Amino acid sequence: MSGTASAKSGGLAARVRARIPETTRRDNIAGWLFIAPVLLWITVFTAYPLISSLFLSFREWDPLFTDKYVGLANYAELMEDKIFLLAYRNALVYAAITIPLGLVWGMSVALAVQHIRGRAFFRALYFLPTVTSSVAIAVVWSFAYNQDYGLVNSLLRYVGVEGPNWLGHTQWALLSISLVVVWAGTGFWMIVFLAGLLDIPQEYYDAAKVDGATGWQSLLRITLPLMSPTIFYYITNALITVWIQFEIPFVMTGGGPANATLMPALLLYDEAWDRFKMGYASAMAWVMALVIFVITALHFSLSRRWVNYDR
Amino acid sequence: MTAERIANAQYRLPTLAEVRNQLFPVIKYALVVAGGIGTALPFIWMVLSSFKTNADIGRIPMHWFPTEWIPQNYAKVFEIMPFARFYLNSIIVGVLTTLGALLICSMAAYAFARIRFIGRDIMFMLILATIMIPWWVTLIPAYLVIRQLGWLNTYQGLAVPGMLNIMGIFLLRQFFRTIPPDIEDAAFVDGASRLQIYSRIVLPMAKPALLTVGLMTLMGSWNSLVWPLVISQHESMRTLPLGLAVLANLAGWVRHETGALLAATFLSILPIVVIYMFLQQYFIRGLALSGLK
Repeated sequence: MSGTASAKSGGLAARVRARIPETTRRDNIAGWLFIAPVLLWITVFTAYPLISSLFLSFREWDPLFTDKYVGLANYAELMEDKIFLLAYRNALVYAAITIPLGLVWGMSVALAVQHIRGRAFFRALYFLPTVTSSVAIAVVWSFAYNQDYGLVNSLLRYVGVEGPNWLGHTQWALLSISLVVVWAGTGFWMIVFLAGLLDIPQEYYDAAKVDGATGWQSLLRITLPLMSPTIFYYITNALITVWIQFEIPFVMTGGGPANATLMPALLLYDEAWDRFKMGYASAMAWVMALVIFVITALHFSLSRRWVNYDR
Repeated sequence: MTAERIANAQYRLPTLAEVRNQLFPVIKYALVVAGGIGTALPFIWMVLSSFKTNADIGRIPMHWFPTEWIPQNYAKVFEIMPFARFYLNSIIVGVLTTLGALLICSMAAYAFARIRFIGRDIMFMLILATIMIPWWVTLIPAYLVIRQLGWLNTYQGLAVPGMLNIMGIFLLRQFFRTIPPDIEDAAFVDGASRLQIYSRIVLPMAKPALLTVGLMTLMGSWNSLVWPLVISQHESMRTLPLGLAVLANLAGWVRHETGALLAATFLSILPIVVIYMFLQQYFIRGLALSGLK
């Protein structure tokens, strides 16, 4: 009625409005057609596999010979599988090294680089490992850790220290791998932290200075509380990636020596593709998902105590 | 004159705060430079060593520069493995994955940004929620799907699953929402179809966003190990990271080919590093926005 009238009068917006009733049906069809490819992909490569893997985890299953329903037996077996528990123990040690170190180092570099000349250059340089494949990083570092001619021990010799066999010794291997992961992640987190730092209004620091605050006090009372959402994001991410780490230990040590660097994902891969115990490996995958879910939920609920969202 | 002034000046020890204020910028600079050297050294060491003989690499104490610069390692790369084939595989898989991802993700993103259809918001939430599924959970059945399709050891098997880039959908949708709707409305009134509006108007305007998402996808594909590891069982279908990883794991003989392996590693990262040097801001923006790498 009034729509038709104004359509006749000819304004562009009015003409568009007049078309809405006819286009609603067409939009429904168009919308679903446009998202159809993505839905197909999600169905085939995410939704179906998700359900399928849950079913597999209740079976003893390999692609060729075995297919038997075993109920929760896979899960029960996992809880007594010493190697499986060791992989999680290793992941905990790895988390205890990489998460705090990555945070402190990434934040220090971000704070230090924030106002200095050549910031763009350093930012680009630190970011380089992020665009490099984990495999390339792992290959280079496995040579760099060589006891005799490796880069690390060669540098240590300059200061008169004879370095250990980093990757060959059970005592050092996990630490060595963790350090590579921190090294590789620094640039990425520096960028994220820098973005957080740039969001803090300069006036806060100016006001603090007028009130006689030292740089250290500004850091503790202004920077860190206002950076807490970014730090929260870092920890969320780190708590997930810990359990899915694969490439670096796979290439550098293959989980050795004597399982010292065995990680959950590495073991899952071995069970599924070396031993073809795909049911058992699926149970491992679901334990992994559960661990990630529980830890993330815990982290989110604890965050209310320390993450500061009001600016 | 100067001497007089110096003599007349009253000297006192600087206070602690003054020392700190003087020292702090120096410490900051030292930290950044030290970290920068630490970041660069393994790369520099890799490149320098790739021009050394293996005996030269093994020398103790280490010499930074080759005693004699030799290019032979780069020739040897192609002898100890079908390196050219790996390179070709990586290029084919990378290009296929990227083009496919740009197509399906931008289509979905356009629908979520612009078309009003029943179930839009719930579908968007559902699709976004799939990021939270750890991909090790879906890996085994996804591999079985590929196996069932007869796609093991094929380019489509390597490339097709990687075309789904949820973060890409999210980023493109954000970008499409910033395009003024008037332009589309005008075309709509002129009788253009949705498909025409999407392909002729929206996509050309979204070039920077498409570049960001395309680079993210390309980099993910170029660097990925796990998926090729389970899909490519034949040596001829290995991608670069897989080829390198397998070779690096054959400890026995390959340790004597350190120079060649380092040369291969250098060659394998070269394309992405070069692209990164030219298109830095797109990489940094894409990765900083995407969060989960």
